[in-house]
Amino acid sequence: MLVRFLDVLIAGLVMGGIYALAAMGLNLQYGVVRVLNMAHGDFIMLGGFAAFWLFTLLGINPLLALLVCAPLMFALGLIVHRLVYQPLRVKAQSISSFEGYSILASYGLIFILQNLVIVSWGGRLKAYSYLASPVNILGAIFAANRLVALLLTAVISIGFYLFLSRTRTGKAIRAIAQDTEVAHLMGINVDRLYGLTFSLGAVLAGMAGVILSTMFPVSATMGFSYTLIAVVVIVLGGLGNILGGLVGGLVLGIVGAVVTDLQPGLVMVAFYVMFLAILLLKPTGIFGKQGS
Amino acid sequence: MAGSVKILEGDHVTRMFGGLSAVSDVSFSLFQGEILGLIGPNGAGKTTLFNLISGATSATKGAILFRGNEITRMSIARRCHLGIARTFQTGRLFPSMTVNDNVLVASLFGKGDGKRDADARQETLELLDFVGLSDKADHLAKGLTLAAQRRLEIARALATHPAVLLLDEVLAGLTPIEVAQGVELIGRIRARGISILMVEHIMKAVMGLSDRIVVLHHGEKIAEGSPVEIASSKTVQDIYLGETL
Amino acid sequence: MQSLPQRPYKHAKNAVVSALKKWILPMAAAALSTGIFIGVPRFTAPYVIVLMTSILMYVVLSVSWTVFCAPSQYFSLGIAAFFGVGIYTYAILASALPSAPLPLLLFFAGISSSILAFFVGLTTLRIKGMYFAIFTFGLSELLRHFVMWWEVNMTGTVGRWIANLEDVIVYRYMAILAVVTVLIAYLLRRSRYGLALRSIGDGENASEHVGVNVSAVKIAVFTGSCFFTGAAGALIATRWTYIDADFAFDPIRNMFTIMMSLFGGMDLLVGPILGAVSIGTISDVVLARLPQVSRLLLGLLLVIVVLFIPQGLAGFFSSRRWLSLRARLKKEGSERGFHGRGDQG
Repeated sequence: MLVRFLDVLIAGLVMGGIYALAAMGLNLQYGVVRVLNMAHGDFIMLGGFAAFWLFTLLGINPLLALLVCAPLMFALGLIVHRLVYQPLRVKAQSISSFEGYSILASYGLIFILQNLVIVSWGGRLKAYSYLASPVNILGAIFAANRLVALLLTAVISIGFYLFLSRTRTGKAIRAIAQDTEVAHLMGINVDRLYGLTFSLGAVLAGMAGVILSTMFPVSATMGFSYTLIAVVVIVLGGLGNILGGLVGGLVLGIVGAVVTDLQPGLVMVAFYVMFLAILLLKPTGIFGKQGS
Repeated sequence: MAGSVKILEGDHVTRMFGGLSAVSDVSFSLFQGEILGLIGPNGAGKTTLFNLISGATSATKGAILFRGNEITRMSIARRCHLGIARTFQTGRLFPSMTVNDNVLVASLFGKGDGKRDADARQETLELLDFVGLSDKADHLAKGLTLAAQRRLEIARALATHPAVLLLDEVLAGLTPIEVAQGVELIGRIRARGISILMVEHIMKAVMGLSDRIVVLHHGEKIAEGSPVEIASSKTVQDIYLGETL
Repeated sequence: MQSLPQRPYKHAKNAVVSALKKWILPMAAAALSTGIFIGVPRFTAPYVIVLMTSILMYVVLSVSWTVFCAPSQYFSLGIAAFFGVGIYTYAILASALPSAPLPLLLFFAGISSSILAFFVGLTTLRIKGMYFAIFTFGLSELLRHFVMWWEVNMTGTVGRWIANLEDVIVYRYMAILAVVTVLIAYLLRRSRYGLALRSIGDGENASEHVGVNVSAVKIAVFTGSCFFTGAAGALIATRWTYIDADFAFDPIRNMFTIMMSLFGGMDLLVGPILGAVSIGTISDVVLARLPQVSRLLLGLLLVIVVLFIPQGLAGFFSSRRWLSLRARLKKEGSERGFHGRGDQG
């Protein structure tokens, strides 16, 4: 009984950490840049593929792959923001119009990224083995990579949280999320930070993907589910709320692990039920502000 | 000539955002037929008070009463049907719709009573004439000059048959001639029997139009009285730091 | 003395003219086009009928998507969910009531989609913002997984069998459905609720302030639009003998519908029709032959359209820029002609 409980708990925390990381990136993007990038999951997928190729072709272990992927994903984020979202922002008549059209554009982005990968590398699952040796904790057996993943997601999320709360750039980013007008007036280069923030979100997604790839196979079509999960997490935690995203990610991770243990085919249903519940009870999210 | 019926009342209204109170324990009355001026430095809580009255924001504490009935928890549309209309400081017209349609939609839905198409169209034409926009009826709202935009907002608000009209800085940014035309328009609106609560920074206009004035500062009501009383009040002069009233 | 007998005449005449413009003409046009569509099979080859059925289905999809999403600016990313619900409802009802007439089955398929739409609307359209788009984003995939899970775990059989219908019959019904959908869309656009919906898209807060019950209008129009989506799904399913969750809830339909509506132009009624015809024609062929490349190009096209021609083809060709460009080209052309062919100056 204890073993099963630990199994589920660790699995939940591991996945929860991944979800939290993914959600953090999406929260940054939505909270600051006001873009709900539906291709976020595909950034995760690309991170996973990058780790796969780095490991398989160059023998680079995933921990180093994190360091290699970060600038790559950052560059990709900058390019996507500059080519797609920035022009949209300039053209948009209002914030809500911008949000709407950028969701449509990001929807197209999903198809571009997914099918680029399929055309280049095929649609089948790709996996590699890293630290798969078993570790025993109180009778429950896990692959070592699970625990490494848990450690990594914890370090990265906490590190990033500290970046946002302690550094000047981090505070500037949070200022934009709170009140763009005032941020302008305070001399913050809002436009440049839009690109930076979006790209940081992409980096977090990529890292989540790298960590994911150490445990599970990657495929070109995996992005969709991760976008969906990230989206449910940020709604649960409150749109734009970083802390809410971290908590929400862990909650969803544990719920997912519990449901997988009981009835594996219904994980998505469970997430949608939670989605529904939050929308009906408190749409602004657990940590969201009440009212308008 | 203002009556003695309180058409709109705020009873110890408070609105907090997190730890900050945008509006703090404000009580006011708007009498039937009067023009009540609402002044105060930027950030004093005037637009928040408007939001509380129109329903765009909910009060943390206190009550809003319309014709003696509490409307504090009512939806925006419901308050509109009852007879509260407003304009917006940032000018929220329907940009991709024509001037005519901007007013038409308000005429059709403003009272919530299923008005006939023909009647609504007729009323729209009349209102456009009333504010002087008849020649621009088929123009898109987004192409209008500032003064025309303000007039359209007013026409749209009037189309909902309000008993109370909230004017949020309708004269801001206008040339002196346009301000004078605006003042004249507001006078004509009052002549129709509509009670007006107006936020305005242009002191001449506020002093000239208002029967009474309420002064807000940091979300609190710090003074209330006739224009003469307010103009000579030391408290008010202090907060405006020497601006000629 | 003269005005008295004239006024009632003028009133009656005005009433007749406005009724004509509002109801009678559009319905007459609808009846006429239906007649033309129905008569077509006598003069064309069978494969044309099959192609036209697909295009007509795409017209229903794109128009039913556009009629709500375009004016309100609430973009549904999950039309495939409502399409699939229609398919499955039809399959279940058709096998339960084999002798039921087709129109009745189609009606119930449409109703079932509307019921789903109503609950989605109740949950997500009463709150402003991206929630509607986000919720519909995963809806078709959710249903696909759930139906598959149900079939595997609860009923034991995957997919369902349907009695196949003749191509010509499917075509005729689809034509009627398409015409009705376009007619309803047209009438709604010109009605007060169409106006209200546009005001919601242009400024929801302001719309509330002028007395529009925004939640009710959004939910009502969205629910109604999904009826046609469901009916179209049910109808097209009759071309096959076997359907399953993968077919019913195929997510490519989400992308396709959005693409057609945007490409054709969301702001004019003719836009989605244009998009359906242009993209629908190449779709079945190209998608089947080069699935990944065509999806890639579709995604690229969507991004390009959103960035550069968000008003779509129809919007572009009726915009001032195009009209003035055309006028300028004509003027230059006529000037050149005036100077004579030999003159190079």
